[in-house]
Amino acid sequence: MNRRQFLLNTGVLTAGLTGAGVLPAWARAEEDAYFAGFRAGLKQHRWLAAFAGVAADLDAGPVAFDGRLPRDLRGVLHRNGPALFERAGQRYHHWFDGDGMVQAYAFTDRGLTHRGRFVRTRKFKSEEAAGRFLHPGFGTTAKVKVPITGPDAVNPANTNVLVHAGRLLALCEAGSAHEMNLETMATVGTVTWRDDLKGMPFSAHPKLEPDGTLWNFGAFNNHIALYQIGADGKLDKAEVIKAPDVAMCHDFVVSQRHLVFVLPPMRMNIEKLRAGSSFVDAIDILKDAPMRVLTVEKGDFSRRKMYELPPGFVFHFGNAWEDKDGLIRFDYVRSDPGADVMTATMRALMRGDVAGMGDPGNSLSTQVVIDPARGTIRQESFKEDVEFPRVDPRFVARRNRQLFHTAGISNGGNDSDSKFGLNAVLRYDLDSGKSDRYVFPREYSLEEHIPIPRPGSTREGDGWLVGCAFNARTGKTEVNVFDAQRLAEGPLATAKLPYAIPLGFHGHFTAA
Amino acid sequence: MHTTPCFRLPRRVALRTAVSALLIIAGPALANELTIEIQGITEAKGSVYVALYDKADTWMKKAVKAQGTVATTGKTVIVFKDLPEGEYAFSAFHDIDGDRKMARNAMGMPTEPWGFSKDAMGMFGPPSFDEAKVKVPAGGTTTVMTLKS
Repeated sequence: MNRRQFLLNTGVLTAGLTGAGVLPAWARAEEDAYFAGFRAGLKQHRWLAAFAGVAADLDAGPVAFDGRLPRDLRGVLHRNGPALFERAGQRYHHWFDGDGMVQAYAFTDRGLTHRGRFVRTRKFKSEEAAGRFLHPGFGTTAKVKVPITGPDAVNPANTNVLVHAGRLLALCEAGSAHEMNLETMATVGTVTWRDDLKGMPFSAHPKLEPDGTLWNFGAFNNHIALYQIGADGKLDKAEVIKAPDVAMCHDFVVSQRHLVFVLPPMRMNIEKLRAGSSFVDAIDILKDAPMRVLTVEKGDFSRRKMYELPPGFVFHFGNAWEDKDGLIRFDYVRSDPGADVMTATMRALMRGDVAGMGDPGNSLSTQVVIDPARGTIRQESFKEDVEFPRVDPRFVARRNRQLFHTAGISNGGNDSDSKFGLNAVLRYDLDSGKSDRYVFPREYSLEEHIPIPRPGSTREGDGWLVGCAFNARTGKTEVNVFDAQRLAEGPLATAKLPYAIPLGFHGHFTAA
Repeated sequence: MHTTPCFRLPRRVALRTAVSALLIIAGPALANELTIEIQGITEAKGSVYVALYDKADTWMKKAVKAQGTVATTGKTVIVFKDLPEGEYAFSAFHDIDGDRKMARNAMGMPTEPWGFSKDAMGMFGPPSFDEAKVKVPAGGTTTVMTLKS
């Protein structure tokens, strides 16, 4: 059934929708500052509706495109993100806690169709049955204690999604990949790459080389697992290495010869956890310590080197490659030390406090050059506030000259009614340093946008940039298609969905 | 962007003791029995092992007794006989693959169902002896625990 939406964003009285008035006494007692604060914030900032969440799977379409959908852009864009934030009067205290919903946007001759399916994780199924949250999240402590037997007991599968070897994989940093049926989107279960790797973290940011080789890692408690998976979907190699002061690691990057990590020093403070603090609050971030850069040779995981960068923080990387002199070049989005966006901003957002949102200039695309022979490293940053770097998928682990971002660029005036940080798409030309950009009107908040190659073309960046934007004025989600080489001209085609889809994190396009 | 908790058991779960204890013949006739009903057995495959400890000092290091039984779907019962009155705590696991060791993945996380007396839970480690202890009075007692996976 279409439009089974339970959104809090279309002008309906928000408290009524979640049934706050008819909740049993124990549930009302669980209502907290986040639940009430979010509703208060929503009255002032309509864009917060993009973080209200949904309670059930979604279906819509086909929706006709405004403008013209390019004839050779056909396929499915899968995306993932936290989408369920409230049960029984309790609201999560962190954006990252929401249950993952995989979105499938199909670009067809008849327009755009959309399907959203919650990943039926162990956590989701048990909480759906109980009608309330049972497990702690990254930033929320649980009021009801159930055994946490390992990462997959609390895995929300909410961060990325990938199609590899015919399998749809929903990914989250700290636990196993969840396989979903590519056609029906029904959850199959967790993926065990090999018996001795069962239940181990398989990060949300694998890197897929053009030949189909998939590289990934998983970080846990000062260890990093490394995975090499063939184009056939079978594990070729896996190993666990020690990595001191790695309480978490979100992303990495792959060159022709190396896996490259940037590791801000963080320690999991077990005593804080035992005393009842949430995981994000139990991470001690060593703000003044350098970030360590770890390179691992693809062909021999025991061949590793460490370099140091000034203190900072990182979530995401674009690409890496080696030049003919053996210099390793890569980019990452550098932010100030301390990870305030993770420890404070994403938390405040959930209680409707937007004070820290949209502060410009904190997350900069940063280009790094490592000289392994000399043991040196240097970096230089662009000036724009950006996130979610992506490159043309045909240029992963080889030289890229273009880098795509979602960006936060002032569109003039007071941003208070549209303050979610990301409102623009941007392409850097890494040779010239120039950028091509499109800044959306004030009412839009953006997700990651993904470059899609034009079939038959081999030229880097030739194709489209595709992604979702939440329109705070209509309270609904729109899907935009740009000419990837002419972002400034604005979208070629826009499909307006009949509902809001919670802003998500990352995705993957599969050509038809 | 998540870091999750995980539970790590100490490397030794006193399995050697567990196995040899199967051969121990009852000593002096003491009436105190500890009857353990183990629930949450997901498949009738392999064995369920329990290691019993009698003090905090030796908790998860040196078991006083250990015992195993064939796994039956749902629940099974293990009885420790002839115990001196006192406080005890135990660990249990379901040895599905029959190798007499609790299986772990390459990061050391348990991959076979496990648990402790009183369903006590630790965080990044086993619970304390005090959290898991059960009193065995004169005449014995029965306790229920559930294996987790």
